[in-house]
Amino acid sequence: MNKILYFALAITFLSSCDQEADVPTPKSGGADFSVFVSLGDSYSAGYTDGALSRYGQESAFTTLMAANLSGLGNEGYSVPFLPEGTSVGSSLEGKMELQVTQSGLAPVTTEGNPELLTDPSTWINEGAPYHNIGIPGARSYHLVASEYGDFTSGVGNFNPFYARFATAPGVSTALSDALSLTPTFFSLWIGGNDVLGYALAGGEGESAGMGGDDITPAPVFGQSYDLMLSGLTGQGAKGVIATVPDIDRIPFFNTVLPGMLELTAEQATALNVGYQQYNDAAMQYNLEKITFTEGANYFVVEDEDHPLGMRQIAADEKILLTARTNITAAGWGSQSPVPQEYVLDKAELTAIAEATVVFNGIIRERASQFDLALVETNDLLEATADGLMVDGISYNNAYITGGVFSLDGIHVTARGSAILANEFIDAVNEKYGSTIPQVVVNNQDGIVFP
Amino acid sequence: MKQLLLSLVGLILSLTPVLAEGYQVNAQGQKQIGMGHTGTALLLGPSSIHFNPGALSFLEGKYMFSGGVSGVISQNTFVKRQPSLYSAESDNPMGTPFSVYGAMRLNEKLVIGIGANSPYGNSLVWGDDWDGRYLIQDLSLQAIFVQPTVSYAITPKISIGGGPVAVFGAVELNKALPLQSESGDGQVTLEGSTVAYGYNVGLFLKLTPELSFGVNYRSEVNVEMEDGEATFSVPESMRGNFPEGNTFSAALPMPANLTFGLGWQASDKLLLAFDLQHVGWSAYKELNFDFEQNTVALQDSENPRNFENSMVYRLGAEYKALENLKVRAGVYYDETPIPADYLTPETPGTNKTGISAGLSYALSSKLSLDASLLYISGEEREDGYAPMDFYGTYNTSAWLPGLGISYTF
Repeated sequence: MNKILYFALAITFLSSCDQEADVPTPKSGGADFSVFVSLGDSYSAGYTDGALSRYGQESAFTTLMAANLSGLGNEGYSVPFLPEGTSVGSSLEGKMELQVTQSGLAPVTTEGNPELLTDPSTWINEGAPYHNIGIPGARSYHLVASEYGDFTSGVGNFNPFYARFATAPGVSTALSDALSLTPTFFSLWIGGNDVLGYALAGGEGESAGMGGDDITPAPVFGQSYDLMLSGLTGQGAKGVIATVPDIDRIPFFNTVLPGMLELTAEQATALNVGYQQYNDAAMQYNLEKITFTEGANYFVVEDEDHPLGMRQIAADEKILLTARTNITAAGWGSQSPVPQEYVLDKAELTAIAEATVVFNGIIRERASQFDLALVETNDLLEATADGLMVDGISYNNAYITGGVFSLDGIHVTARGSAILANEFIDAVNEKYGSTIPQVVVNNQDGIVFP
Repeated sequence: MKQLLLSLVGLILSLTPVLAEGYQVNAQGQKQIGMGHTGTALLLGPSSIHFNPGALSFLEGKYMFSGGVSGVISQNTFVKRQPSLYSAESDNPMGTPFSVYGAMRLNEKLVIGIGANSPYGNSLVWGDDWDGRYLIQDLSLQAIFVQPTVSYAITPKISIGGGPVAVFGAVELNKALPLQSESGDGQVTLEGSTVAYGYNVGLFLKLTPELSFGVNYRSEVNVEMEDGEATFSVPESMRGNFPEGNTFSAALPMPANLTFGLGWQASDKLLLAFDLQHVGWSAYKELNFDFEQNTVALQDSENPRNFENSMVYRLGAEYKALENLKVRAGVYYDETPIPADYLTPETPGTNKTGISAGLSYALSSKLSLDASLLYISGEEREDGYAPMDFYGTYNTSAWLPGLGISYTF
C-alpha cells in the first residue's frame, strides 16, 4: 500500500516539474526609445473600415509598435483616443461593417459619432501634445501648417481630425506638437494623400497643385519633408520613415476590374441595340464602336476628352471601388457610363505613378541623408500580392477576403496593421541593432463576419 | 489474474503524448523500458511478442504473462521566432501507454501468444487561443495494436516467429479557422476511427551460450480513415460554405521498424544489450484531409510532412543484485525524422536522449513486480513549418514512471 502511495507521490512530483519557456530580453541597440512620437496620416492614426474609431486607434501600426517599446525604456505613448466604441469618418459617417443585406454579404456604413468632429466640446486639446500624431487626410505640407487645425476658418478649411487634439488649434502644427515632446525616436509616414487625394477623386484635380484633389508639387513635398526631418533629428532623435505605396496594389483601385461586366446573351443584345446610335456616330468619326457579347465585357466609362463623351474602358485603366454599388444598382458601365470621377485613365495613372516615383525618390534620399531606417511599403504590398503566409494564415491584397485591407479597401485591418508594424519594427531593428519584439499578428482581429 | 488484467486494461484512459520521435511511443515492456528499450536479442518474457516474435519459443515456462502501464508526463514549450515576447506551454493530458502479453507453450518447439500495446500515439494540448491555433489547437491520436503470434524453434539455436497485427486507430484534432465572428475564430473538429492491418516477424539466434542476436521487422501500417466526421464552427453568414454532416478521409502511416539487437550475458549477474532501430518515417510524406463536400471556401487540406527515415541507438544493462531483485539501466539516442522547415507544433520533434532505470522484484518463483522510470530530454530546436510560416524554439521533455507484473508457470 505504501509503495503505491510513494508511486502516486512521485507522479505528482514529476507533474509539477513544469518547464518555463525562456524568452530573451529585448535590447535597444543604438537607439533610445524613451520618447516615441509618430507623425503621419490616416495609417498612423488607425483609420480603418472607412472611419477613425477607438478600435482602429488601438490597433494602429503606431500604437502596436509603441506597445512593444514598453520593455525598452519607453516612458509612455499617448493616443488622442476617441471614446470607447465610437467612430467617425472624414465625411462624418461611421465605420463600415459586414452585414447580410438583400444583395448578400456586404459592407454597410454605420451611423457613427459625427459630434466628435463637429462639436468642439468633445475635443481633447487639454491632453495635448499626444505621442500619436496621425491625422486622417493629412498631406506632407499639412503637418507643418498651423492653419490645418484652425477651426475658426470654417468647415472645409481645416481638418477637425487634427483640431480635436492639437496643442493649440490654429497655432500649433503636427510638427510643433511632436517637437514639444522632445522625442528620442519617431516614425514619419506621410505622402500617401499627396498622391491619393488625386487618385481618390478619379484624377480630376491637377497633377501639381495644392487643392484637395491635386497631386502635391514635388518641391512642396520635399520642403515639408525636410522641415520635419531637420526639426526632429535636430533634437537628436532617430527614427523610421516609409515610402508611398503604389496604388496598383490597393484593392480600392483593383477590385472593380475593367473587364468585369458580366452579361447574358439577352443583355448583350439589348445593350448593342441601345448603343446603335453611338456606334453610327463612331463610324462617322472613325472611332472604336461600343459592343457587347455574352460573358465578360469592358465597362463603358465617361471621358470628356472623347469626341462622343464616353467609351469602353481599356484593360490598363482603373475603376474605383466606390463605383461598385451603382454598377449593380444603377446600370453604371452598361446602361450609362461610369462617371469619370470614378475612373482613372491612362494619363491620370501615369501622373500618379510618376508622382509616386518622385516622392519615393525624395523619401529614400532623405532616409540616407538623415541616416534613418526606411520601410519600403511596396515590398510588403508585393509580398502580400503573391500571398503572404503569416503564422498559419495566408494574406493577400484582395478586397474583404484578403485579410490585409479593411472594408474601405484603402486602410488596413488590425491584422494588416500588425503586419505593417512588424515591417517598421524590422526596419528599425536592422538599422539600429535593436531587438524590438514583433507584434503577434494573430492577437489582432481580421475582418469580422456576421 | 483475470481481475488484474481487467484493471490494467481499465488504466488505459488515454494514450500517450510524443515520446519517441514522430508520433511513435517506445514503451512496450516495463523490463525493456528499464534497459533503454532494448530487447530484440533478449529473453525477458512474453513481451518478445512485440520486440521479437522469433524469441518467443526460447522462453522458459508453459504459460507466460506480462503486462504494464507507464504514465507519460510530458511538456512542450514554444518561444516564437525572435524578436518576440510570445511563448506558450502545452498542457498535455497524462498519457498511459500500456502493454499486455500472454503466451502458451504447445510443445518444445512451438509457442503461441497474443499481445496488445500502443506503439503509436500523440496527445497534445496547446490551447484554443495560442498563436499556432491555425495549425493545431489540440490533438489526440490513439492506436492500439493487437498481435496474435506464433514462434517456432527450427533448431536449439535458431528460432523464428511472427504474426499479423490489427490496429485500432482513432484520432481527434481541433484547429482554428481564420473566419472571425464577434465571438472569435471559427474552428474545425476532425474525428474518426478505423482498423488497419500489418505484421510483425523476427529471427532469434543463440550465437554462443553468452551471446544472442535478434532481428525484428514490424511492418508499416497505413491507417486509412474514411468517413471521419468534420465539424465546422463558422460565422452564421458563412455557414452555407461549410455543410453540416461533412466527412473526410485521411491516411496516416505507422512506419515500419527494422531492429537489430545483440545480447551479451557478460557474467552470471550482468546482462548487456544493444539495439539498432531503423524507423521508416519516409512513409510520412503528407497529411491530407479530403473532404467529401468541397465548396469555394472549403477546399481539401494538403499538408506536406516530408519525414525522413531515422535511427534509434539503444544500450541497456540488467544486474542481478539479489536472488529476488534485478536492477536495470539504459540509455538511448533517438534521431528526429522531421527535416528542417517541416517542424509543426502538432509533432514538435527533435533529437532526444532517453535515460532509464528499472527493477524487477520477485514475489515468488512465478510472480514478479516490474517497475521502470524513463526520462526523455529533447534537444532545444529552433525551427518551424515553412508551408504555414510558423517558427520558434521548441523544448520537449517527459517523465515516464511505469509499473507492471510478470507471471510465468
